[in-house]
Amino acid sequence: MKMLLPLVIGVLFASGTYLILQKNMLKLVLGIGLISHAANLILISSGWIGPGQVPILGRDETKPFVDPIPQALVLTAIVIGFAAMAFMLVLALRVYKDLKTANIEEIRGQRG
Amino acid sequence: MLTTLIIIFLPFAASLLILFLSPWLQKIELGKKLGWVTALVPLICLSSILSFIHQINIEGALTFHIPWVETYGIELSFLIDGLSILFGILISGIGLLVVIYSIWYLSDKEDKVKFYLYLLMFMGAMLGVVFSNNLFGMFTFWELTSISSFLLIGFWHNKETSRYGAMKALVITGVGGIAMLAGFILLYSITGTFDVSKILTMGDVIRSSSLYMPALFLIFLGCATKSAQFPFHIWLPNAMEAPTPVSAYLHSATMVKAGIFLTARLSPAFSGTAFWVCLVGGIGMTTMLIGGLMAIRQTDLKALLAYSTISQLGMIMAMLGFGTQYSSEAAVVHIMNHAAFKAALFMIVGIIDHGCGTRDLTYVGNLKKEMPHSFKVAFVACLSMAGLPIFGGFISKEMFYESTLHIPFVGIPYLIPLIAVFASLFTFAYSFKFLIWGFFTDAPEHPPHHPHEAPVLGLLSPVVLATVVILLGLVPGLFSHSILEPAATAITGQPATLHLALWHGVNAPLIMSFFTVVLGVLLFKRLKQVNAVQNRISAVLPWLSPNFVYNKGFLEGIPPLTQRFLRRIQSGNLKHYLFVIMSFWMLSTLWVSLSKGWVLNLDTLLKTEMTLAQGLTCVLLMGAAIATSLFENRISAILSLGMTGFLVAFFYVLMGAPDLALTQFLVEAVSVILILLVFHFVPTYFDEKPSQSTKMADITLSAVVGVVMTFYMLMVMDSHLTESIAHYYLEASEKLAGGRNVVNVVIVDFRGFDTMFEIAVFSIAILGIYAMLRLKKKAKPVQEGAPSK
Repeated sequence: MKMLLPLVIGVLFASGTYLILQKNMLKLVLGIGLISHAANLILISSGWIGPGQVPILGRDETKPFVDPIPQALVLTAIVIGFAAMAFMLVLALRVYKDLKTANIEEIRGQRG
Repeated sequence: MLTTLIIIFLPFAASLLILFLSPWLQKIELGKKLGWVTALVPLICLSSILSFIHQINIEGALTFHIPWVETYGIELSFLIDGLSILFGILISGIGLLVVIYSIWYLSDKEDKVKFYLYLLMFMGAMLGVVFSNNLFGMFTFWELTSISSFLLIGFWHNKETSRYGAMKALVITGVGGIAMLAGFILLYSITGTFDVSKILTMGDVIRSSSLYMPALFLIFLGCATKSAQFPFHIWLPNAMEAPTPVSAYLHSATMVKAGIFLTARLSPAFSGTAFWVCLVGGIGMTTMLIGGLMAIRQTDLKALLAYSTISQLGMIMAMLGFGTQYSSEAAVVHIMNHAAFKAALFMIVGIIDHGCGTRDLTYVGNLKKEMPHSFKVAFVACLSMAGLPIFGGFISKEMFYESTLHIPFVGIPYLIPLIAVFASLFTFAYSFKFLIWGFFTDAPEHPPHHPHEAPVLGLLSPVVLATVVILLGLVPGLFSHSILEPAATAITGQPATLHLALWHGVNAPLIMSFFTVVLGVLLFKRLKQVNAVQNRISAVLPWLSPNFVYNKGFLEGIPPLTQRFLRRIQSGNLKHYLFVIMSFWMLSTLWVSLSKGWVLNLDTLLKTEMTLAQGLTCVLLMGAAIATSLFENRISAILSLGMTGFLVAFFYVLMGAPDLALTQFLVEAVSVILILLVFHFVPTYFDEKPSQSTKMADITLSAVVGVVMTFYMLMVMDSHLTESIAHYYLEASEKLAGGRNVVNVVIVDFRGFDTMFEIAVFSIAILGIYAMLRLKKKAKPVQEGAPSK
C-alpha cells in the first residue's frame, strides 16, 4: 500500500497536468478536478500510518486511532474544491455563450 | 528644531495647499497673483536659515533627530552646519528671486498652479537634501529633486523636445541615483550607521576599508550624473526646454549643485587619497574643458549658458577633487559666485527671449541701446564669469589657479595648471561671445520682434543678483566670515580662514590670469573660424558625443530589446505560462528533496502489508484517471472523472475516514450532474488535433510531473519529521467539546473559524455563479435566455 499510494498520486497528477495543458476549457476544469483529488490524497496520506481505528471514541480504545486532523482539513478541501469547480464550470458556460468558443487560445483578446 | 522643520516642510505644505485650493484660487482670480503668495515661502525659509548663522558660528554643527524606522536605523535627522547653511541660502535666496522673476515671465495663459506647485516641491526637496543628516532621508529628497526637475523640464509637455529633455534628465539622474543608493549601502556596511555626522568622523575607517573604492565610485556616479559631469552632462542642454526661471533656478544655481554638495559633504570621509584626486579631480577637469569647448560653439544663448554651467560645475568639482584646504575654500567661494552670475545671466536670456521672440545669436545682436538695463546686468555678470578684476569671479578664478599649483598625488608638474589655463580660455571666450555678440555687434539676421526692455518686475531679480556679484568682488569680506568660512570648515574638517582680496601682489595666479586674458582675446577674435572647424568635426564624427550613445544605444537600442524579451515571457498564451509554472514547480520540488539528502528506503515501503481491496482500488483509480485524460468522447470523460471521484471516496473508507467518504460521495454525485448540465450547453469538447510535437511535449511534462510527485510522496511517507498532535484532539474531544466523532468536533469546534470561512468561500462562489448566469450583455440583445439553476 505504501508503495502504491504514491504511484496513484503520481498518475492523478500526470493525468490532470495533461488535461490542463489542452486547449478546451472543459478539459481544463476536469484536469483541475483530478489534481484536487491528488492533493487531497497527499494530505490524508500524511496522517496515515497503516491500519488503524476510525477516530470515533467510545468503542474499543486499545487499538490506535487514525489521525483525525488531516481528515478535518481534507473535508474542508473537498467542499471548497467543489465550490471552485462549480464556479469554473459556470464561468466556462458564460464564456461559451458570449464568445461561442471553448478554445482558450481563441478567447484571448476577444470581448463579448 | 521647529525652525528646521519649517525650513524643509513649509515648501511641501505650501505646494499641497496650492494643489487643493487651486479651483478656489481660480474662482477668486487669485490664480494670477499666485506668485506673490508663493514668494512668501522662500522668504520665510531664507530668514529662518539666516537666523541660524550666528548659532552655527558659535557652536559649530547642530543636529536634530526624529525617530522614523528605528529598527533599521533610519530616522528623520537634520544636520545644520556651514555647508548646509550656504546651500540653504542659495536655494531659498535664489528661489525668492526666481519666483519674483517668474511673476513677470509667466503670462496669464500659463498654468501657474502647476508651475508653483512643482517649484515649491523642488524647493522643499532640495532643502531636504542639504539639511539631511541621514543617508536614507537624503536619498529620498535627492530623488524628489529629480522628479520635480522632470516635471519642470516637461512643463510645456505638448512640445516634443520638452518631453525628450525631461525623459533624458530623469533617466540619467535616476540611474545615478540608484548607483548612489548602492554606494550608501556599501558605506553603511563599512561604518554601520546611516548618520551623516557620525560617518564624517570615521574617515580613517572608511579610507582603509576594502569597500572604499566601490563605495566612492558608486556615490560619485550619483553626484556626477546630478551635477552634469562628463560624460553624463548631455542631459543639461536638453533640460533648457524648461521655462527660463526654472533653468535659472534648478539647472544653474541649485539642483545641479546637489552633486557638488554631496561631494563636498562627504569629503571629510572620503577625500585625501590618490583615487579621490584622480576620480573627482580628473572628472572635474575633463568636464570643465569639454563644457567650455562646447559652449563657445553655441549660438543659442541658453545652450551657451547650459554648456558654460557644465564647464563651471566641472571646475568646482575639480577644486573639491584636489582636496586641499585651499582648494576647498576656493570651491566654496566659486559656488557662491557662480550661483549669482549664472542665475543673473539666465534671467537676462529670458528677457532677451521675451523682448526679441528668439534667443539665437543668429538673430539677436546689438541690444545695448534697446535693452540698456539688461545690458548693464549682463556686463557685470559676463565679466565676473570671464574672471576679470573687481568682480567676484576674478577672486575665485585666482584661487582656482593657486590651488592647481599644489595638488597632492599628481606626478607631472605644470600639467594641471596648463589645463586650467587652457580651459579658462574657453570661459573667457564664451563670456565675451555672450556679451559682445549679444549686445555690441549686429546679428546676421533680424529678430521676429523689435527688441524691447523688460519692466521693473522682470529686471528686479537680475539687478539684485548683479549687485551681489559686484559686492562679492569689492567687499568679499561681507560674506566670508559669516557664510563662506563655516562652509569651508565643514568640507575639510579644519577651521578655515579666508583672506579674500582682489590684489595679492604679482604672483603665479596673476601671471596665469594675464595669459588667460591675452590668449582669450586672441581666441575670441578667431571665434568664427574656430566654430566653423568645430561644426565640421561634429558633422563628420557624430559618434564623438555621448548623445550618440544615449540616442542610438539607449533610446533606439533598449526598447526593442525589452519588447522582444517581454514578448517572450508575457506571450499571453495560457499553455506557455502553465509550462513555465509547472517546470519551475518540478525543479524546485526536486531541488528541495535532493538537497535535503533524502534517499528512498524501499525495504520499509515494501514490507507494509496491503489488502486486496486496497490494491484493487489503487489500480482502478489509476485506470480511471488515465481514462479521464485520454477519452475524446465527452460522456466517457465525465463518467471517468466521476469514477475517479467515487474510487477516491472508497479509498477514504479503506483509510478509516468515513466522514470524508460520505462527503466525497455526495460532492461527486452533484459534480457529475453539474458537469453534464454544463456540457449540454457547451457542446464542443474535441480539440482540433494537436501537432505531434505539442502532444509529445504535453505528455513529457505530464510524465515528469507524475514521476516527480511519486518520488516526492515516497520520500514524504518514509520520513516522520515531527510527532503528530492527534493525541491532544483524541483526549480533549470528549472532555472539552463533548463530542465523540473527533473529525466532526475538530471541524465545528476546534477549528470552527476554518469552517466559517469555508462557508464564506462557498457563499462567494454561489454569488459569483448567480451573477454570471444572470449577467446580460449591454450592447447586443441576449440571444438565449439564461438557464435557470
